Amino acid sequence: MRHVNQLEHYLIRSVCNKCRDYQRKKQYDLVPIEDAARIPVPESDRPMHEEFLRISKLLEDLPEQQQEVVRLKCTDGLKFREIASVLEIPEATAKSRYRYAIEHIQDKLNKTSKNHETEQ
Amino acid sequence: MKRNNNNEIEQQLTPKCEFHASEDLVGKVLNAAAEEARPSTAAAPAFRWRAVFAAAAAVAAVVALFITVKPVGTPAYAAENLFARAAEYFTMVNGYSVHFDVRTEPQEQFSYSNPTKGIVHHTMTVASDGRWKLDKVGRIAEYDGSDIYVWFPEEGWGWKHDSDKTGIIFPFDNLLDLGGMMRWLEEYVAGSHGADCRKVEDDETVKLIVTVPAQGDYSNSYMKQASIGDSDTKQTYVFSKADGRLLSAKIDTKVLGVSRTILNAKSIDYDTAITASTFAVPMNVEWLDHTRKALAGLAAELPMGEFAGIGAEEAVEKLFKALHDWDEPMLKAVLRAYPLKRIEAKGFKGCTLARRGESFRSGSYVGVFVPCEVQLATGRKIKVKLALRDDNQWHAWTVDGGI
Repeated sequence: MRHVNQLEHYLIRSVCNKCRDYQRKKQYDLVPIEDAARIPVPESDRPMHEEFLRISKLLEDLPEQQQEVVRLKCTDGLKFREIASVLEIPEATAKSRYRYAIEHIQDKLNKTSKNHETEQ
Repeated sequence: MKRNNNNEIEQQLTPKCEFHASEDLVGKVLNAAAEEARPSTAAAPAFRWRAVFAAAAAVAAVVALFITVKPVGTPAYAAENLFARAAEYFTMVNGYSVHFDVRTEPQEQFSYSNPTKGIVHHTMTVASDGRWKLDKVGRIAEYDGSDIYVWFPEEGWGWKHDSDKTGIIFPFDNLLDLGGMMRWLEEYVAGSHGADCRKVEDDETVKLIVTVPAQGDYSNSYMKQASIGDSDTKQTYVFSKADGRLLSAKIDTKVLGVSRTILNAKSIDYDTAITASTFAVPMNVEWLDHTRKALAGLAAELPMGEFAGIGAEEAVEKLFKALHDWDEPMLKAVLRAYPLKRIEAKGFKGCTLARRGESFRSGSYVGVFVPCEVQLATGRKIKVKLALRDDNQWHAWTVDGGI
């Protein structure tokens, strides 16, 4: 483990890779995000589950790569330098993916807002 | 303006609550992890009891029912009356049974616990004449008034020990004299002050909550959380206000930030009815005689010296050569805790040592661990972590677990 400089990043990366490997090997019954709300969850997990659904809804139209950057930034609180390290991409790429994601969500919210105004 | 909008979006994307693994998820992950658990010592029971026995002999090491080290602090209030009353209660009791659940394996040594394992029910029965029995289905220990027996009912073999070897059921040997334990607690609480022990009362009970750090050196973390003493725990003891009886005990540890109960003593039956058959020693068991007298005789017959005065790594290499050649005297010397037919049944006859790692120490185990890759006679390769110790009168290495 001597080669590991940033243990936290190393662990996040390891878990991501392990999950991908696991997913490749096994067949899952995937649930569309809009159906996730119907999955029964323990009462104690409900606030967390609802937050997850709310954020997932905001991110749903984005490419997976942009979603990943947003989650690492907003949920895990990583800096761009750290995100770049975890995802093994240049820092500039992490920043641009994030910027595109934010702009996309901004447009989406603006459109939703206009639609509401029109309906009213 | 745009920056402000970005801030708003970022706020919307930031969770309003802390995201953490739910207990349900942690449970599933732990259960899955248990299936791929580290090479367990389950197949090689009791690899640690001798050290534990020595430690238990030092009364200062025994703090409470299952506490193996002193807690960092003790209540700064007079809880001693509580324990004094509990101790007094035991002077009037004619035997008792304690029923408790532990996260462990049915056949493992009694000291082994692991928060990733399932629950195994235990019953400790103590008679007023000093006989006792500890039963966790896969492994049973008993003192019949003469000797201590420990056996594996499903495998049909076990050990016979001298009557003073109660450390073999550590930490549950503390259950053999609950009154004495209460008296010790009384003295301990009266003489110490601190902040990591607190008392909670309701109308009928007094709850004593003690935070106990793991003992041992975990620079190698292999043994961390491998027993109650090797875990950071929160221990809760509930006493009756009416008569001071100990009513229940619970031990929790944290895994991935989530609390998990590793021991739960839900009930104690006082004045329990104990029949003569409770302590009957089974007839159809192959007994390995490990009394001092028998072991002294073994030393005269077996080449113990072959495993003395050498490093653990060399002892392991000699062990595997003996397994390959099936050299019974050598095997009986280094594997004296096991019937050889069991070692043979597990496929070790004719095996070879494919790769050996360096020995290491972990936790409070008195011996060392040596990671090995073994090629069985069938060609299959397996990984084991052998536990070896040499704290005997011959200073000869013996395999204590992992095979």
